[in-house]
Amino acid sequence: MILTVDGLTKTFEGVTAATDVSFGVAQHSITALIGPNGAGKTTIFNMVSGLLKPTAGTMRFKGEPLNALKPHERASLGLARTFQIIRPFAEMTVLENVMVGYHRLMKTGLFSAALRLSVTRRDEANARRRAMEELDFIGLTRRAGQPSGNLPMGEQRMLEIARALVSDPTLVLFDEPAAGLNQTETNTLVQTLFKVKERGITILLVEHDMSMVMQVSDRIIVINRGQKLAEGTPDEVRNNCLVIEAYLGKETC
Amino acid sequence: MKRTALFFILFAVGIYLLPLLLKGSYWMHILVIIGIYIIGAIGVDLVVGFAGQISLCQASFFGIGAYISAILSNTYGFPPVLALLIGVVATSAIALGLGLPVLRLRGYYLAIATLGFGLIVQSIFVTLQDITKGPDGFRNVVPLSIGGYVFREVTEYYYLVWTISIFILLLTRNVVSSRVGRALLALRGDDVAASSVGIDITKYKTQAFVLSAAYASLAGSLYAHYNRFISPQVADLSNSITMIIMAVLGGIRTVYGVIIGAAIMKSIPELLESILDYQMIITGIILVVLLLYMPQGLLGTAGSIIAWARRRRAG
Amino acid sequence: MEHSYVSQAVQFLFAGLSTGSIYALVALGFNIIYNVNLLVNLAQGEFVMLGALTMISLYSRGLPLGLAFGVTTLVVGVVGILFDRLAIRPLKRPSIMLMILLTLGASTFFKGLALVAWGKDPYTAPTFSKTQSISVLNATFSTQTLWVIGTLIVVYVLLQLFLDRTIVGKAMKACSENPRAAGLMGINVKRYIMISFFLSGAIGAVGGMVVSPISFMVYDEGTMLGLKGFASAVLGGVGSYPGAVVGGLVLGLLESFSTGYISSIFKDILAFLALLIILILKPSGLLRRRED
Repeated sequence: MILTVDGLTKTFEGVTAATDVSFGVAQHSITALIGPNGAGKTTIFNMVSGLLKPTAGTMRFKGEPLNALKPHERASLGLARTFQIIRPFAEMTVLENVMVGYHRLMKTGLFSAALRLSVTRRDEANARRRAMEELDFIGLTRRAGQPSGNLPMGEQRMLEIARALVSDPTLVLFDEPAAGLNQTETNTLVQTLFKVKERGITILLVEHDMSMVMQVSDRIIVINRGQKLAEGTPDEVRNNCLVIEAYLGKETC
Repeated sequence: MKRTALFFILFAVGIYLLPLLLKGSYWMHILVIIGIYIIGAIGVDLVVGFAGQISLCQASFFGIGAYISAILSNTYGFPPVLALLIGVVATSAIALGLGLPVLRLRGYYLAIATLGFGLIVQSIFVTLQDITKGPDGFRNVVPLSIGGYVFREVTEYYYLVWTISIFILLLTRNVVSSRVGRALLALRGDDVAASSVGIDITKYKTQAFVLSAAYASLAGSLYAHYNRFISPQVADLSNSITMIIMAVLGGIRTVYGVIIGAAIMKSIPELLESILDYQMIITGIILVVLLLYMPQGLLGTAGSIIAWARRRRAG
Repeated sequence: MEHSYVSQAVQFLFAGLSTGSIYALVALGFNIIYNVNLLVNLAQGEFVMLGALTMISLYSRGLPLGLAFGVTTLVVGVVGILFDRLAIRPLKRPSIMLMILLTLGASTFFKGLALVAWGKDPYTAPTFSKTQSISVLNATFSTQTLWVIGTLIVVYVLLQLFLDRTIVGKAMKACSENPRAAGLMGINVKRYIMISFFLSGAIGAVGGMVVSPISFMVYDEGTMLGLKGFASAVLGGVGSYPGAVVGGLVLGLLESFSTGYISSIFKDILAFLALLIILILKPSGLLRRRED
């Protein structure tokens, strides 16, 4: 298990968003976190990526405890993420946006940058090369020099993915990657996710689009009202009466 | 961008040749002042433009550098270059000490905290009269000397200041077009996303802030030795605002824009001598009009127009 | 003359309440604009300065003090409106950085105006009442101090009545609670922003005028007053009117007692330190809503 989460709990001012959630993500797999609206999926996500501090529970990534690490430190370990509300860096071009993602693998600091030492020149060349590779991978090469703010939504999503992939992460957290995408764009997304898996990168995604989740996932974890409800392969989950109950509200079991 | 490099080389050559044309006229003095303020203003661009942190105390660091230089070289007989270096180190340390708590703040709070710091620094310069010679200012600051060579003529300062200025501009341009610059832009744009790609927000904000303070200190020391007179006025909020205007007017994040900004802001008082009293009014109006109608500044707007024209031609 | 500890303490108490009331008035002005527009007006202190200097000028030209007071209040209120119209409203894509720099530019402009109109000299006004000073428990202070404290009370009460009881005031409150909903209900949010600037200017001016007999007003006094007013607003919770009063008075008293018992070096640093400490303990700030 590349990522394990144990007893993760989060309470805000009397409201419990997550209670005692435990699961593991197997390396090289695509795992999905699903659940009705407000179930607590994004809360769990934010705890794993470091934006929220858990009230209780531990997380381990590659065997390393995560709890004490800040978000940028987790990213440095190879844990990348995308955001549901797309956040490109508006002041930079598409290429530069992706190059930012390469940050953790670069060594240039203030001094070497100011004097343009050879380590800087090498860093820049590597960053540029890798960024172009990723832009190629997601099919945005022609946009490389353009300002990132004006891209259509589907392409902005792809840009986020490229930015997450350029640093050769071990695990990528995809936060509702299909949100706001039309059918064609969603199909492209599914293909992209498979290609990412082929590269050996592990994927954990939070998603609402059920058919997409069923298509793409090796394993699904169902969260309801902050608690883990069920876990299993897509078929197991599809036929799990507790899950059906949670979504349809009908007594089935 | 090769074209910008070419323009800059031409500009630098022009700067070196200009004294032959001006031959010690009063404009040489203005140009020295412009050169000094370029160093302060590019610091502002780094912190405010690139890192997006609203710092209103650049003049405080300018003043600290100026006073340390004046005090150490006059009162304690330090060689001016040593005093200058000590000034830069001390100012950087102060900036670090201030930055660590204060850079955690956002928006208005950061602005007000730096504003408050600025008022305190200025009031220290006024109150510690025994050391700083108080509100009437510090006279007869020792001229700059390197080795045995004493800088006395305007022309000598001109070459020294502009060489330093050009060097600082190049250094800064290198920084902003590197991983560091992108990290600053990223944390300015969206610090949550930035930390998610591994950028240590605190580290980069602090680096920009301290470097900017070091620049300001350097500029302040040069000013002290060149002008031979400093007063608490150099650390005034209005001086910080002037440097911000220089960065915005020239074109925020264009790096070279500060040359234009500094040139205009320091020429205005000279060109409009009779209305010296109205300087503050004009400064205020310039800032407001700039921000409302031309926020990208001169170089920035020119750049946008060129890019737009290119796109139209490309169809 | 021997000052007993009590009379000293009373002296400091009234001095503190007096300065504190001014800070509170500045803080109220900040909050009014902030509540309706989510904008912190860094030129707030300049309204105070303009109020004092304008009234002094009008009075020195022969206007009776009361009339000068009234006219100035209106004039500075209108200045606030012009400020909104010319500097704030035209902004197409507001961001915090732009707002800060804009209001800073305006503050510079006002200072420049004051410099040209009044020079660098300090000015003072006559006390509002004929009796100049009063004595309480062997402590002597100006009657103006009572005017200052009284003005704060009156302004605060009037402000609350305005916001709670009048239609205009209630509409303003609606704008501050939810501008989009207010707009959808047909409330012209822009007009209420304008009104908030008028009120802010007027209240700021009132503060300046009422304190001018017991202190000196100079063209650049506004910056420090604005800073301390903002510190007071933060101390009490940005956006809260009772908080502004509490924050202002606490700051004024802290300054007064530390100056009296320790040293005057602390006076200006105190506001800055108080602000820093609060903000460090709660770095997300005490702002109620979004910071985009």
